[in-house]
Amino acid sequence: MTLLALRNVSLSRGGRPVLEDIGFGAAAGDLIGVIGPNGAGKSTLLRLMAGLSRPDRGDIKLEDRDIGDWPRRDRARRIAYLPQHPDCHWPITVAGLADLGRLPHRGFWDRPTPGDAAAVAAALALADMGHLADRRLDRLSGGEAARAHLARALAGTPALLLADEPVADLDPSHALSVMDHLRRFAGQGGAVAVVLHDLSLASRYCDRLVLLNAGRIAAAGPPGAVLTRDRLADIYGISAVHGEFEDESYVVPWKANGPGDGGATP
Amino acid sequence: MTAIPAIRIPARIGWTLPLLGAAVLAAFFLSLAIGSAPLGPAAMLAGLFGGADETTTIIMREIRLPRAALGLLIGATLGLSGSGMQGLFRNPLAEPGIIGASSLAAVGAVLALYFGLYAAFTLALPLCGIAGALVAVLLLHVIAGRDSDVLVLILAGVAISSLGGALVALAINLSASPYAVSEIVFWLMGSLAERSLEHFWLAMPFILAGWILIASTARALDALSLDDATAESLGFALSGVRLRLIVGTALAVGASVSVSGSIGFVGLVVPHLLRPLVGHRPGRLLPASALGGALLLLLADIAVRLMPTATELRLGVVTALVGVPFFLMLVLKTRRRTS
Repeated sequence: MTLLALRNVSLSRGGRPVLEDIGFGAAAGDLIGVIGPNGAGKSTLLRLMAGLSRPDRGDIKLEDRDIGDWPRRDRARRIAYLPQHPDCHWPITVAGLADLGRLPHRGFWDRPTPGDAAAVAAALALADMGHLADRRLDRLSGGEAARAHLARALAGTPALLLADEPVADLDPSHALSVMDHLRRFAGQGGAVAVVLHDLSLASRYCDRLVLLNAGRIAAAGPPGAVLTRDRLADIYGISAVHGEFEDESYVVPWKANGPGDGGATP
Repeated sequence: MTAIPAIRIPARIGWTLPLLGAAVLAAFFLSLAIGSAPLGPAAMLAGLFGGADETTTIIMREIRLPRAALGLLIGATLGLSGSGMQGLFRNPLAEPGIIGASSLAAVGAVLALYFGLYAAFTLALPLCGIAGALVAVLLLHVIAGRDSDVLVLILAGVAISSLGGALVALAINLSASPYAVSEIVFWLMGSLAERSLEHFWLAMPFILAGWILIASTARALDALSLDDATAESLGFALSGVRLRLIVGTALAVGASVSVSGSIGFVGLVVPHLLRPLVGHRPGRLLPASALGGALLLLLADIAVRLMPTATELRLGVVTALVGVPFFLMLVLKTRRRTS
């Protein structure tokens, strides 16, 4: 069943269209990459999917019910949102941060239950942060902090995880490990939509890609079908190396094309 | 998944709250016990609950009980609203005084004194105080916006406080009678002395309503450790949370200032001292800060009574004298961390 379905979604800001006629769906087990050049509308799309803002036109349905009609807390239990540069303002512990992900499951007077503790433990394990559970956030490296925030998002046991460039500031090993964690989460029946700038990671890890350009979907489908030479040249203005390694195909951006230098490939 | 190690969620406050609570109780009884007339425990109880001679009854019920009860109420208000403001602005330098709420509450109360509204209608003083505090918090919200950085917040607070100071000075300037001037000046210095139980009952409904509003945001304040979008994605309506905190602070602080005058820095110092004891979680800091604020104010009020000065020092004077160096230390520490 489709978990989250977008149909004809459009949004304008200050009279300028930001997103136009967006339609696609996410189901359990999907790892969907949302890609596109800067300013294509990726983050805006993710916020719409999280229910943080409303589209001007079209509808977004979570489990066949309009996302705006969901009570906040019920929605929060199903969708976890991981922003672009997650930050925690107080130096709480890693486990304390992950426990914030349990807030939608907890009433005002409820104390943390064994179920909360188990979910936090599972999320920390999934993000490889179990050994740092008692470490304060201000004493983590950048990569560890990114995984701690990922654990926070996973601790709410969401059906859908929306992550906005979770690997943007990470070195290659941390970036790869975060992508592995996302894949693992999808493998356990979660759905993931992740905004990525790194086309190599996107092509390798995602089942499907949604390529945005100037607020519209330029292409959607399996990475191989989306990241064609022509599209990379048209939309990104680059030439790329396409290859295969250990049964996985990859794309490596190679060269920025000059104006009028359309189809040159190495 | 197998063998997940046991995770210790830092969920318990442990002994912090019970210990603070016990200390507050002790300070409350100490406050009842201290005064110029030496009274034993038996005489104190008899004075409070009946069966004592008239003098003892008056001392206990009309002098010491209001003072201790107001110390409890106002100290808790300052601690609670301070931790609420720090959580909302995600900033350890926020407090009801520094953002100008106390200052404009004082303006409201001074206007009530100046125009003699207070004499005509007893509720006028707390009501004007609350209105002043509301104006301050709304002004701050407009100026500093929601994701305030430290500088904008402090500057906006300075501006609002200066406005309050100027308005109070204006009232004193225009005051025709020296009697009104001294009334305003003494009231401004902040004190719990010479208040009656009527003051207590007058302020309490507003203060309780403020407490409830602030306390209702405990979970949301935890979520606000993260950015706004994430907090919202965790199921909290942030506009409502902000409104509850702002109105709650204005109600509680406005009513407190209307009764006691300006007592600064309690709301800054207490949350800061207690934050590490509750694992830095803003929601848990609320009850701890309420107790800590009550404790600090009761102790400070006991201290001014014990100090061998010719005239009793005003409570607001003492908290400011102690609070300002503390505040400077905090600023220096923040600067060191950011540079």
